[in-house]
Amino acid sequence: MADWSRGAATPGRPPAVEVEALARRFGRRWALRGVDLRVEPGEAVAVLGRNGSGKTTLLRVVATLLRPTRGRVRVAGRDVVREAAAVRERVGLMGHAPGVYDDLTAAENLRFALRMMGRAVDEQRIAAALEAVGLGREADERVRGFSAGMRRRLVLARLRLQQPEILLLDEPYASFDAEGVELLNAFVRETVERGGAALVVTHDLARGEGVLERAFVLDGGRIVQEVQVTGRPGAVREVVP
Amino acid sequence: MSGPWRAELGRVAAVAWKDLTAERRTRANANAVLFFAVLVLVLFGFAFGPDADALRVAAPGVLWLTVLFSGVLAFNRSYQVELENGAFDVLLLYPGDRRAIFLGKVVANLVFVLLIEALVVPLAALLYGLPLLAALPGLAAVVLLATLGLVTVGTFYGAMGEPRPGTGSPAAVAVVPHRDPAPRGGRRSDDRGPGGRPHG
Repeated sequence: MADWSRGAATPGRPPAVEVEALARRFGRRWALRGVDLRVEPGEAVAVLGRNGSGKTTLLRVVATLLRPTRGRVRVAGRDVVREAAAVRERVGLMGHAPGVYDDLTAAENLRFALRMMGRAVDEQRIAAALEAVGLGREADERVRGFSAGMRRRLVLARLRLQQPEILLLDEPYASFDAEGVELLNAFVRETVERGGAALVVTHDLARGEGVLERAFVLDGGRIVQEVQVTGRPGAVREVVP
Repeated sequence: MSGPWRAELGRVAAVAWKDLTAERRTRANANAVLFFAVLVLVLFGFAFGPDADALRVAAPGVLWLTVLFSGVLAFNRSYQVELENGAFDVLLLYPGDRRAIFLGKVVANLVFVLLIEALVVPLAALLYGLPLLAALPGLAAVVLLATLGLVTVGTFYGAMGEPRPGTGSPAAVAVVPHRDPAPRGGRRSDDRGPGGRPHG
């Protein structure tokens, strides 16, 4: 299992995510207007904000899916524009949409993912990943018949196979039932305990309580608040705008 | 073969396998494309009337027009499946060279269009009175090369015109017929083929 030298305080280790003066424009509209944030290794950080505040845009820039208009973003010390390929090797994305193929089975989706990652197809690992997210019995069923929550679980299984250093999660708690939320939180916890990090865009910070340690609040494309969450029962409700 | 090359070829094969497996199961593309292809062949046949000579002269052009339009439908669909469920983002985030995605799609589209042609060419020979068997070896080579050219350019424009979910791909529709030299070359080569005459 991957280990990225656990600990936020590891000397000489670059921040997991470092965003400096990031601005991003779509046509005449600025979605981000000078965002600065830093996520250290071993940290799970939430990004909160109203619809249209720029949360997903921020995540997509960090994931190399969008180029910054201005500013600089580095992931594990790699620039998202100049070293995009190196960044992509380190990040795992759970987006708004699950990104799975309806006409493949659950196991085939994972087989395809492993081959695209350039890794050997290991049927035992695939079975274990599906079992771990509660889809063991549905391994050979086509995804077309899956509910939204089951699709999310399949994405989680893919992330478990990938073992990315940095998790980028966009509204990950949507569609998950209570057990699914537990599975996701356990995976985020495992990742940060091994020295990885997570950047989680959410409207539902309460479901990540106990896992998410800090929260940034975006409004109008700017960070307007940063709050420590862990160890402060009820704090999550203070920061949700 | 070195490691990185093997990994890239593995990705090409994975994308092609994924597209062809999905198509084999749903036949979503094949049904629409085949129906369209047969319709074009039959309607052009009616348009040219009962004159056997006119039909034979027109046959290569009609055949390639059929293949071209059928191909455009296939190229659109090949990117449309990536947009359903947001799979395109995930695809773009896999490590490795993104050209592997394009090449995988070219391979899948090539197999698909060749299968369509395997049905459409004999049908065209039947409807337009072409001596298919006599011209088969040369025709097969022409069809293969022209299809490779058409699919490569069409898949490229399909990606450029990568549509939003539920929309068509206007770039592929608008640009391929003007820009892709493969069908023009293929049609001219066919003129020497089954029943065709060289153009003056």
